[in-house]
Amino acid sequence: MWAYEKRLQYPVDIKSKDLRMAKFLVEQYGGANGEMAAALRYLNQRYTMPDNRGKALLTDIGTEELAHIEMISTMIYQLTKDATVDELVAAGLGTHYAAHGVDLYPTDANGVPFTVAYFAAVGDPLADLMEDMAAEEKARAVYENLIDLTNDPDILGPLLWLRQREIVHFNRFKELYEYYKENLPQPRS
Amino acid sequence: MNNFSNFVSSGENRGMNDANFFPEARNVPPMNFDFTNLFNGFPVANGANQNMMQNMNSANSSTNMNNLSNALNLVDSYEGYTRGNLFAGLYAPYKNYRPMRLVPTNEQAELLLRANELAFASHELRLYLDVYPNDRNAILLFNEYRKSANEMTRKYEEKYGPIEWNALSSSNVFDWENEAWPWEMGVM
Repeated sequence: MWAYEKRLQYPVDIKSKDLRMAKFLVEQYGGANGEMAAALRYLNQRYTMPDNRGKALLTDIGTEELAHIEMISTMIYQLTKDATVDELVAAGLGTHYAAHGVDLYPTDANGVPFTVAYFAAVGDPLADLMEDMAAEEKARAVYENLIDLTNDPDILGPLLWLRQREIVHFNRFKELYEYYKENLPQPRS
Repeated sequence: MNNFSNFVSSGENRGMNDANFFPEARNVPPMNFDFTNLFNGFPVANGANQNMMQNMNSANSSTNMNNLSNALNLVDSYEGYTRGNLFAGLYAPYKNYRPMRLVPTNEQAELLLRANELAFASHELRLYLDVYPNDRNAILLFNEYRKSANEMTRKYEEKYGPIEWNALSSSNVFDWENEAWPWEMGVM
């Protein structure tokens, strides 16, 4: 089970409305390499990991990704707070307003809804972990794209922080991959 | 609500002056009590904290934890938290950007920062131990950080309301709903 902690993993305090950046940032909420895909990918893959190292790592990183969903959602919420309908339309968010009002909704930056087709599970721990490593690298690259799109320090701080988390997670997955490569009987049949 | 003054470098390519963006990276206000200064590089607590420090931890413990941190090549919990990365060897900055410095401007923000940075250090060691479950140095440091994080979280909750749903309270109001939600206040 899970228990909610009533705090952000890292503080988000955005003081300036910025609908343009909100539209971009949603990519990391409901996009192919976003935090929702990451959380569900790892929490789904963990059950059949071959030993406790894999079960623990996928559980703990998957859980952390839930906290990152909350950080990204908080950023989007604060960036769009008190926006008028006219402002939303002008920023290209009129279609979002038509479908969702001012609610958050997990889509990519083009408004395409989140789908679990973004991630895989193929019954092979090495292949799954290789996907996880690639996912972290792609998420890091997307954070860099997003960093390039703003100069608001309130947005940059959390984006830089989340980018570092992708680097740490990538390395932990890589270490586990190498450990399994060395120690698992192969191929698993 | 704005309880942090945030500083982040946008790099020379944006024409910003680092001196303005990093007035004092280590200018952290004094704490009520201080576990984190056990770790290498963290500023020593001043004034009122001295007695608390002497009561709580022996010099051996402090030295031991420094050694553990060094053996694992870790930065201290504040630096690790602001970076989002406790592991010195894994830290890879993007372009000229530097981490946002978190400088609490009131007691609530300060307690929360301490609780969060200790929880973050614990979490980083947990992920490491998931892959290296037999690393004795990491186990010892994990235990210390967890203990400190729990104590600091309880300290926050006593004064400012629950972080965890089962926080102990003698309040006659349902303070789970009485306190602001994390997305509504920067300090949380």
